[in-house]
Amino acid sequence: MAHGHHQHHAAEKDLLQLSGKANGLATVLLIVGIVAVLASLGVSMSSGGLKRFYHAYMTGYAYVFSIAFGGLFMLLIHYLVRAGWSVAVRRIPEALAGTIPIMGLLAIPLVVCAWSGKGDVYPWAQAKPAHPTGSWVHTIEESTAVGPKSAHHGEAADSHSDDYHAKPAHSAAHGSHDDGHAAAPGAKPVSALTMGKMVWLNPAFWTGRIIFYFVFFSLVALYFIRKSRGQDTTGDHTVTERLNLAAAPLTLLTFVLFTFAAFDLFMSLDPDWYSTIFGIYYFAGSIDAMVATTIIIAAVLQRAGYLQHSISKEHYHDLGKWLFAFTFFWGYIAFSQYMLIWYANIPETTYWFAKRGATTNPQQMQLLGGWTVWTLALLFGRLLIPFAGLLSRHVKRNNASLIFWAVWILVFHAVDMVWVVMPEYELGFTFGLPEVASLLGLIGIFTGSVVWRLTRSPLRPVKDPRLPESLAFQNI
Amino acid sequence: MSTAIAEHPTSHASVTEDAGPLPQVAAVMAEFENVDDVMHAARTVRDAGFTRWDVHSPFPIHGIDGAMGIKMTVLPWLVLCGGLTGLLGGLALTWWTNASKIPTPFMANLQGYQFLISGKPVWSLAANIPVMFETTVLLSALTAVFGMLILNRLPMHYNPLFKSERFHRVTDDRFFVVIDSRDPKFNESEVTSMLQKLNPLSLEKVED
Repeated sequence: MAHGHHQHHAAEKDLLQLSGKANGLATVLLIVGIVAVLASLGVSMSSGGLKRFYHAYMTGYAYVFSIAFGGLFMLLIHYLVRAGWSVAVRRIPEALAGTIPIMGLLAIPLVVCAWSGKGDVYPWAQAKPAHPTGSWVHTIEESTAVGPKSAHHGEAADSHSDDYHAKPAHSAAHGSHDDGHAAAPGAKPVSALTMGKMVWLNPAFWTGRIIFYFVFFSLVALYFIRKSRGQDTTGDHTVTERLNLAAAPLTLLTFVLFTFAAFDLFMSLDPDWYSTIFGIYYFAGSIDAMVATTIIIAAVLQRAGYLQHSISKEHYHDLGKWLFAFTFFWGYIAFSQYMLIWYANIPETTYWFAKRGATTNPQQMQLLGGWTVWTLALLFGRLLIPFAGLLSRHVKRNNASLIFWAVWILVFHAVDMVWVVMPEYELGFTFGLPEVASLLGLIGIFTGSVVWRLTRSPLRPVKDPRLPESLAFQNI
Repeated sequence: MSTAIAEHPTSHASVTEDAGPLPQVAAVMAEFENVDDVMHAARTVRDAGFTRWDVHSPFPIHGIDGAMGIKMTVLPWLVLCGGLTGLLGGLALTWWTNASKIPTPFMANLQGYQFLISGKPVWSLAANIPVMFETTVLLSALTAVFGMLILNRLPMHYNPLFKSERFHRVTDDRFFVVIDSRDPKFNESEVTSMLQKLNPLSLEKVED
C-alpha cells in the first residue's frame, strides 16, 4: 500500500545505533545503582540489621526480575503467534530479556542469605529452626500469628493481641523443651507444615533449582536474541520460521519454570502459606510492568532522535492495549487469589492477607493499619484507577497520556512488590529508606544493563521478513 | 441474483449507453482497479462534501476511514453504558437474591432468600463480584454485537447494488465508490462528471 511503502522508506533513514554517550549513561546508572544498594545496606544496618536489608533487596529484586522476565515473555509469545506488528519495537523486549543472566547474578545475595543458616529471609533456610511440638492444628496456630485463633475459637481480641509479641519466645521455648532438638539462639519458629516442606525447601535443593531456572531462562533469551541479531546481517527468513517453531515448546517450559521460580523465590518467604495462583499473580504484574517499560523506553528513544519513523502511534496503541489488558488481568488474578482464600476461610491461608492488613480486628488494625492502607492503594491504584484511565483508545493513542499511565503502572508495580515481600519482614508495617534505596538501586543496575544491551545491536531488526508489515502497521 | 437482473434489464445499462430517460436512479457507482485509485476517489468524494456514500472492497483497506472522513463511532459509549448496566444489574441481582427478603410484585412465591454460606455475612461484596463481572461482560458483549448490527443497519436483505452485474466482482478483485441518490448534495449529472474525472474502469447508474 502506498502509505506503507512511504513509511518503509522513511524508516530506512532512521537512526538505529545508539551513540557512544549511551555507554557512559549505562556506566553511570550501574554505579548509581550499586551505590544505592550499598546505601540501603548501610541504612538497614542501623535499623533492623541484615534481615531488613535482605527484605529490602528482595523487594527491588522482585521488581527488576519481573520486568526482565517480561521481556522474554514478549519474545516468546510474539514468535509463537507470528505477530507482525511488534517487530519494529522488538529490540526493546530483547534488551530487557538480555538482562536475565544479570538477574541470575543479582540473585547471589539471596543464595548467600539462604546459606547463612539464619533464616533472615527464608525461615525454612535456618540451620536449626525452632521446632514446635504438639498437635498439627496447635502448631499451625502457633506459627500463624494473625487470624487463625480468632477464626477457630472466636476468643476476645485482646487475649491474643499479645501473642504476636510473645510468640517467638513462646515457641522457641517449645522447641528447646523438645526431645533433643536444639534450636539455634534467636531461631524463628517453624511450623510442622514447613518442617514437612523442607524436602523441597532446603538450601541445597533450592539453590540447585534457582541455578537451573536462571540457566534455562538465560539460554532461551540468548537463543532468541542471537538468532534475531544474526538475521540483521543475513536476512535469512528461515531464522524467523525456526524461532516460531521453537517458541511453542519453550513458551510452555518457560512458564512452568517461571511459576516454580515465583514459588521458590517469593512465595517461600512464608513457607506455611501456599497459593497455586501465586506464580500467575507475579506473572501478570511482570508483563504489565514490562509493557510499561517498553513504552517508556520507546518514547525516550524517539525523543532522543532514534527510530523516528519506525515506531508510530499505531505501535503505541497496541502496546497500550497490552498495558490495559494486563492491568485488568492482574486485577482478575489478584482478586481470584483473594476471593478463593476469603471464601474457603482456612486459617493456614487467610492469615497471609491478615498480615497485609486485610482485617477488621481493631487490635490487629493498630499494628497493621499501614498495610491496610497499602492494600487499598493496590486495589485502587493498581486496578480500578488505571483500568478507567486506560479504557479509551484516545488515551492509548496519545503519547503523553500513555506515558503517564505507563509510569503509573510502574510505580504501582513497585507498591505491589513491597506488598508481597515486606509484610514478611515482621508483623507490622515496615517501609522506609532501605526499601526505597534498594528499589532505586536495583532499578539503576537493571536500567544500566538494558541501556548497555541496547547499544549492542541496531534499535530495531533491520532484515526481519515481517519488518515491512510492522512498519506499515495500522489499527484501523 | 440473475433472475433479478433478468426482471430489470435496464439496470445494468452503463452511462455511456444512451438508454433514454431512466426510472429512479438509486445510486451512481464507479468501479476501480486498485486500492490507490479507490483511496484517491474516496478522498475526492469526501472533500466534495457527500454524506450518503460508501466504498466497497474485497478486503479491509487500512486508512479508508480517514480517506472517507468517517467519524469515530458512538459504539464504545454504548458498550460502556451496557457494561455499567450489567455491573449495577449484577449488584442488584446478588443483593436481591442473597441479601434481601423482598418479594417480587405479583409473584408471591418468588422472593429474595438470605442463604447463609460458610458463615459469611449475607451481604458480602467479594462473593458478588464474580457475578457482577460476568453480567458486565455479558451486557458489554451483547451491546457491542447488537449495537454494531443496528448502527450498520444490518442485517440488510436488499440493496439495489445486488442487481448490478459488475458489482459481483466486489468480492473478488474490484473496488467501488457508490454515491446514494438520497444524499442531500446528489445531482446526477454533477456526480457523474465528478466520478468520470477519477478515471474509473466503468461508471454505472444503479436503479431501484
